[in-house]
Amino acid sequence: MKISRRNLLAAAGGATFAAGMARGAEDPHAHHHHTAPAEPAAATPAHTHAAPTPAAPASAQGARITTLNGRSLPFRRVNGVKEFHLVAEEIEHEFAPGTKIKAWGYNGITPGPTIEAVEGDRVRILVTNRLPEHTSIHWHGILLPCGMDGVGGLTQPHIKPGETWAYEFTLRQHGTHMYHPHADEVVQLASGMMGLFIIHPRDRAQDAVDRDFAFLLHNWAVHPGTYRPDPSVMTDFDLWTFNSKLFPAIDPLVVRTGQRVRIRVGNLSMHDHPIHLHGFRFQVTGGDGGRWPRAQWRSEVTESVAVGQTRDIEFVADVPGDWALHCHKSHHTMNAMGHGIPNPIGVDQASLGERLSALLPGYHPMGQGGMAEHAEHSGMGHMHGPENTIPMMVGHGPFGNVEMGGMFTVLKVRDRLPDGYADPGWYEHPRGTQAWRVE
Amino acid sequence: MNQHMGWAPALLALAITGCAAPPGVRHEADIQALVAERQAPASTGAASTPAAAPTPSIESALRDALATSPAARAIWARYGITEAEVRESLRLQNPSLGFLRLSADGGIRETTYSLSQPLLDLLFTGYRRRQGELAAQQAMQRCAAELLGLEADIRIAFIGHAAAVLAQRAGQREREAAELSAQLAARFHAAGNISELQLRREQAAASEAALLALQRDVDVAQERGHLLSLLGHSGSDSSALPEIAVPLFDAEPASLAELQQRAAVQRLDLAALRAERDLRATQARHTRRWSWFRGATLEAERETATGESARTGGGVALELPLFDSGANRRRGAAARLQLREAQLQGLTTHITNEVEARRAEVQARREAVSMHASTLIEQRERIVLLTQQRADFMLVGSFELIAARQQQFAAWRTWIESVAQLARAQIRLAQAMGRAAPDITITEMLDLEDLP
Repeated sequence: MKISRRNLLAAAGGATFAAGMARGAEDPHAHHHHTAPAEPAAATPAHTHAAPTPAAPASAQGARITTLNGRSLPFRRVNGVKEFHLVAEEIEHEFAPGTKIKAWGYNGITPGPTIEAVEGDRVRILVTNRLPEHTSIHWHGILLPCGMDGVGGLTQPHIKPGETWAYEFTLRQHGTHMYHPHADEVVQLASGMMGLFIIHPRDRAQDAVDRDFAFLLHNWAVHPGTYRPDPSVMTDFDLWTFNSKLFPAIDPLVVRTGQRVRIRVGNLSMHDHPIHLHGFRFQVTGGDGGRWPRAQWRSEVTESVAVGQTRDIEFVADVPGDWALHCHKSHHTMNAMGHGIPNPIGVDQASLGERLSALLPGYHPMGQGGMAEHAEHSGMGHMHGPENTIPMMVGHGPFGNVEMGGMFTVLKVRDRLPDGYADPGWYEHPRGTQAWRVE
Repeated sequence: MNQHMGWAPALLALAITGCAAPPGVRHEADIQALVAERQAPASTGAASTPAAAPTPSIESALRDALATSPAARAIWARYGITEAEVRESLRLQNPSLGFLRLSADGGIRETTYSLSQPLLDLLFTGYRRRQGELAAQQAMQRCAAELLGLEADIRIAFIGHAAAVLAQRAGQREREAAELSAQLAARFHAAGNISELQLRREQAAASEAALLALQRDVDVAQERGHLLSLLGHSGSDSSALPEIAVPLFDAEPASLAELQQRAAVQRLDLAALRAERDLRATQARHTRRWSWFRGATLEAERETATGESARTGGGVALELPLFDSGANRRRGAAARLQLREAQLQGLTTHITNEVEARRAEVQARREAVSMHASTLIEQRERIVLLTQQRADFMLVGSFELIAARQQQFAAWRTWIESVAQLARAQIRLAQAMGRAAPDITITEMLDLEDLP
């Protein structure tokens, strides 16, 4: 399967969100404070994306945030306050082609749109509840008055269905933060309600990069053949996602050779995730607490992002290629997978094959030599799994099956990007730079 | 489920020749008519049973059994005995012829010829004829009822045998699945992938499946023996066994009131008891009227004596009711009438309740068949398919898939059993109605080809 954002998202009408991605979509007519602003269009299709962003050099203004498979939330300025509007609602979400669920999200997507603001901004975030139950929003890691912290029942009454509430505070920090409900949290987080809240430093020069990617880690108990997350599951999840997407539907990270790249990773799942980037040593430069002093930066190739934590990593993409970026817990780079099933590796089923076939005409003895043949069978369409279920191992690269899933995508570094940051396709390795078969 | 005209095709012929009586049996045609009225309807346009079928059809086996089986012959023989007794009771007593010769001194000799005839037989000829007719009617009804009962028993035995064979086949499939699962478990254990505990569980499950399969073998042997006995064949004569097929009597029974009304008309045992009640009532009336008149003899004599002219004369002798006025006979006749009336009332109540219970059973069995056909069979089939999909995606293991298949066989087996139970319930309802078989045209039969 070719990893192509263009292919994956073509049907979604990527241009529809162009306006939304425009930074500071201010309302020129809003000159005074008001309490009932127009709501954003509800239930925007989940695959609204920015058109490929043209390469931009690092500058004092910094790069715009590229939320993988997502978008940033537009705002309007009302009497000097940046006013955002989130609508909590049930949505249809697609993890990857053929796998959809009834999720809960914001403004039609999960994760909700990324809120971007600048240190010192006064922000007002209107929250309309279109869920069947009450909700609230907690601004995770953000310094604010206690009454704005969004803990239902503790710092505020719950936001009942149909109500719109306002949160307003001044941003006194910068860094990569998150938002999520703090009401019936097990259900609402399990259903996909989360988002990134990124506060840029007032002095953008101090963290300027050329490409600034962001995604949230999450896990989902969407059992094979079902269409709604099961909130009762605590550890044994079915799906592991970057921004609620599964490989191979996760956007690649496209950069030009030599660009300085930041990847912001937030974790609202139930597990810690060691995020590993191939090909580069990166610096861990910050997290929920903001940008760390340079002396605290550390050089890593894998950074574990704990539950409820964010991490920023930065590096210069100076080696072209297709570089894997994934959680290093190998089960987290699988899609739907049976847990606790009898292990078939090393089991000779062949001699029972005839009797098994007589008993079960559709039976496929598999796994004696390992599970890779499963990817081969499912990829070739020999087997059809349960409805609404993506195979355990998927993805077809230029040299065969990638045999991945879940929390896996590709950093694509290219010397030339004639189509901007659109997916450039597979990397063509220069002669003599690729492993070869000896025998 | 095959399209099949079932038992219907040969019933017309069966009605005519099926209850063949031994040669010389009186009223055979009347009895056959009573039976034919209560058999399953002759089907119009039904496919006939292949004449040269290697395995006899149910109808041909039934026809043979009702003609030649020991049970059928015994029924006819019992009827013959009863019928002879009835006829015997209708005969006039034979007259008595007397001859007396006396000698006296002097050469005198007297010779007396006498002829006497009990007078009651002659006086009550009409009464006795009516009694005889009632007794003969009762005997025919009981004979026909026994034949219908035998036919129903044989039909139930057909179903029992066929269902046992089909369940045995399904059980064999269950056993094969369990054995395969155990063998697969041995492979997993040999590869070091499952523990001995898991292996033993699979093996124990296979052993249990094998034991159940053995029990089903026993069931088949018992059902086979029972059927062959009813058919009048020895156990070694397996060619006499009819085809293995269970009819699906899937028809809603009529209303309870209608069924009870029809039962009251059709039940031959009830009709026979009514006839006996009428007979006893007639007897009671007669006894009440004539109890004092116990004996009378008509006599004629001719006497000759030496030297005298012959004398001829007659007379009547009457028993005088001085010491026995017939009161006990009157009480006895009244008591016998009361007994029959009580038996008639009891049987009527029993039939009413039996019809209600059998109808309720048919409805419950129909529901069970319907649940199997419309839900469980399809559900188990679907579960196998869906489990197969999950096994293909390595979401479940092989053992779970095999177990799903095993459960599908088990569901098919319980379906067979439910269809057989419905068939038996319909026949029992028909029996309660005084018939040998349901008044339903069968269009489907369950056979071995239906095994998944």
